[in-house]
Amino acid sequence: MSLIKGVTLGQYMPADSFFHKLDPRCKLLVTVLSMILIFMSGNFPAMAIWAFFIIFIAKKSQIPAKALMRSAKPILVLIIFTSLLHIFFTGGNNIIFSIGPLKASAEGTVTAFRMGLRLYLLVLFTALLTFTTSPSELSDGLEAAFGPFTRFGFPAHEVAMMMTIALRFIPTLFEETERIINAQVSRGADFVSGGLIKRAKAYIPVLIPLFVLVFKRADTLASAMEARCYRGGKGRVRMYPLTWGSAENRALMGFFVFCTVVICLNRWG
Amino acid sequence: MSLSVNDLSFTYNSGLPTEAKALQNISFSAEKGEILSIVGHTGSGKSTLAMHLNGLLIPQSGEVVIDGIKTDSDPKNLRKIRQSVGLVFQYPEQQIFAETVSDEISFGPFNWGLRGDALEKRVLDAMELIGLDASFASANPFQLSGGEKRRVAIASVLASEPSYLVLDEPTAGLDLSGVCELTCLLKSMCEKEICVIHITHDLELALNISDRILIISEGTLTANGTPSEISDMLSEINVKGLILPDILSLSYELKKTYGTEAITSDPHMLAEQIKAVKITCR
Amino acid sequence: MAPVSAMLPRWRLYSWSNNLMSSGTTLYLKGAEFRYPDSDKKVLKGIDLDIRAGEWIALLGPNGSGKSTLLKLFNALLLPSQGSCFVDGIDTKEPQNIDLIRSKVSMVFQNPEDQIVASVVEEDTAFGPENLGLPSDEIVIRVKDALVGVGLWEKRKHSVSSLSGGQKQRLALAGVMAIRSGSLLLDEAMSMLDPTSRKSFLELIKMEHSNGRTVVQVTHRLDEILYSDRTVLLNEGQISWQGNTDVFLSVSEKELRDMGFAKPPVAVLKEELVKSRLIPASTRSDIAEIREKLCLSQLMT
Repeated sequence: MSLIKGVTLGQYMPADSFFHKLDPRCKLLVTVLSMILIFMSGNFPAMAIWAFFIIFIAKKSQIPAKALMRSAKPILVLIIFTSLLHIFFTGGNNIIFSIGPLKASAEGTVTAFRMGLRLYLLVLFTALLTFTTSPSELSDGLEAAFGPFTRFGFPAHEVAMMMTIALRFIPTLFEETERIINAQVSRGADFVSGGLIKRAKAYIPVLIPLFVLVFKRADTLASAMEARCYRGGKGRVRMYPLTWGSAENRALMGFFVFCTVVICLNRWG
Repeated sequence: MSLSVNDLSFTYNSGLPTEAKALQNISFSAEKGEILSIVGHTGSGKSTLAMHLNGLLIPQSGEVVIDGIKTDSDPKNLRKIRQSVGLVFQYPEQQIFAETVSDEISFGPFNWGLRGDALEKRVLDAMELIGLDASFASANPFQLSGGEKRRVAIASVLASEPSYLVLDEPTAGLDLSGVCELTCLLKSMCEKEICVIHITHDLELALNISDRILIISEGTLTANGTPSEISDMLSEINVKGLILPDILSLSYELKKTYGTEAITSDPHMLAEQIKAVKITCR
Repeated sequence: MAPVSAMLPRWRLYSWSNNLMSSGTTLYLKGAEFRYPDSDKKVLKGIDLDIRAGEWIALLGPNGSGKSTLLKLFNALLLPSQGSCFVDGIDTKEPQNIDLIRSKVSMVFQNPEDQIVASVVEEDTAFGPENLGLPSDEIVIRVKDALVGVGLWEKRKHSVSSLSGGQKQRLALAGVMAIRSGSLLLDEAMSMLDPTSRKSFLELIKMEHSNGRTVVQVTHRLDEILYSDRTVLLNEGQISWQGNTDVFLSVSEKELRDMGFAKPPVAVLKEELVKSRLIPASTRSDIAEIREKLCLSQLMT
């Protein structure tokens, strides 16, 4: 009855590496730029270079290969689905095989492979980010990145705090949901048989207790935070303040060089 | 007709890096009309064991047999087992979802197929058993006190009229009167020939109310006996994670050093023994 | 619950141990009343309570007596609807004082899950000092002291979800220790812990108290109050009795049960032995101390 054990949620793996110690703002910037570039990557040589880049960072950050591979599991279904769409619905004249009215084209297969690879590389890159950056660093980085927008009324600190708390409670909520499901199954609740509507209704005895629990917790948590002198972002200091130094500059320089190589490969590869 | 667990073993996340052996070769049986307490520290595997008793978990090796039916993935068997084995989780009030107490309590029997008058009677019987006045039937369970909510949750399990009642830390968070009420309830269940399996980390409580006690430590069964057998046994061996009640541990020391006759957890008796010993010393 | 035993003597002032450090906060309620904004029912009715620096108060009472509500007055989570609450002489009703008050009075709640904010152990401990705006290197020092103090330093980089319930509650305590407030409020902080965790948590509270902190502890288990100085009984929003904890625990088992409490067996043992003059009356209801006083440890090999 175990819910989602075994699928890594891009969990933070602490280690003493260059990339772990980098300022999260730098890592966020690199990740966002990489995502854009990966998506613009047209040809396979470029994508091969990305793959090497990812493997290089993973090795240097002491991330085990298995964990990295497993991080793409959640979107495997999506990749397969979009691949099938490309294979069968991209127009083209080179038909490889057909199943009834569906025709699989060579162009479609190539596109599918390219798209699939892009998505895979994208997810792996974001996994690199979450493996080497603790949730708190991530939200600090985001808070700092959106800092300039607070003068326009954007609640950067509040959003960052909400993210931190949400991430903190994900494992707890999974456990509690599992417990409630077990309690209702023990009383004869049935989540597997019957039509879609019947099965959806069967979840009401799980969702209601969960919501009640969550709202009560929100109340107590707010009191506990206030009791620990929380009063919003005003005057708040961080134990490990973000510092942008030579390491970050070097990392960015290296990254820009890499990007140039990739863009060239794309143009002329 | 009984509940028996034979050579049960279970490992979480078998094969993955997060693999954890929860239970190893557990064997015991429970008869109708007795209170069996399973005592162990947090992480000893007692909750995992509880979930095997009503088929929420299926044994990876070994078997769990309830009134002749083995727990396996067959939904028909599981259905029979879950009517026969009522499982009350820790902090059971967290499972409440219905708008009225009566709806909440009828959830179980409704799922087992009861309707109409028979269903209503079950609900009222369960409420009477737990000591909830019939006027609570139309109340909103979310607006009751903590103690009342817990009674509603336990009643909702009793409404299935189980032959075996498994309770995981039922006294957690209760004050003295709550503990007393619960203990009375468990004793009355016994009188009705229901087998009560009481899972707890409170050795003192187990020694006070049980007919038999099982001690689980790190997934293995360390002891199985009556409260006095267990008291005697604990004077010899040290069970990891188990804190001995103060009086009992002092009693052991006294026996070891002065050879006092009886091991006791009663402070008055211990005081008498100490007085006697002191007199001999002088 | 039966009315307070007539056997309990009226409270008299008692003398202080002179070597108590007075770094603790003083907490003072004067005519404090409380009712929730949308209700007429008074949860607290005219409470006068004077808690001195470094005192350990056990606050007992049946469910609904107002114990948690009273506790929350001390760190300004709730404000009295009538009367006042003073922390080190500062009025909690003045909004500009709230930050200062919360840096002087910290609270540990019942459920460990509901207090932990961050996903990584040391980040959660840092939450309080970060809110106080302390310099980063000071925060690092405080976090280390607190985590070493509760025995979680080795797990400082671990995720919070990998901790057990007892460890999480120790983490919550560390978070509060890092604030270095003068007083500690415990709202049934041990009621969700197993016996082993409860024992180690109680040892930590004893340690904090011996460092001079004022402790106000709400609980319904008498085995948790054995080290407290004074016991205050609350019933239906009013103080029905207060006095030395020793005096409270010397009441008979039956009388205590009528009041809704189970007398700890070790307290029963201590009394019997004191009656038989085998140990001095000053012995605390602590099994180790009783053993010591009986000279058993010397006679045991």
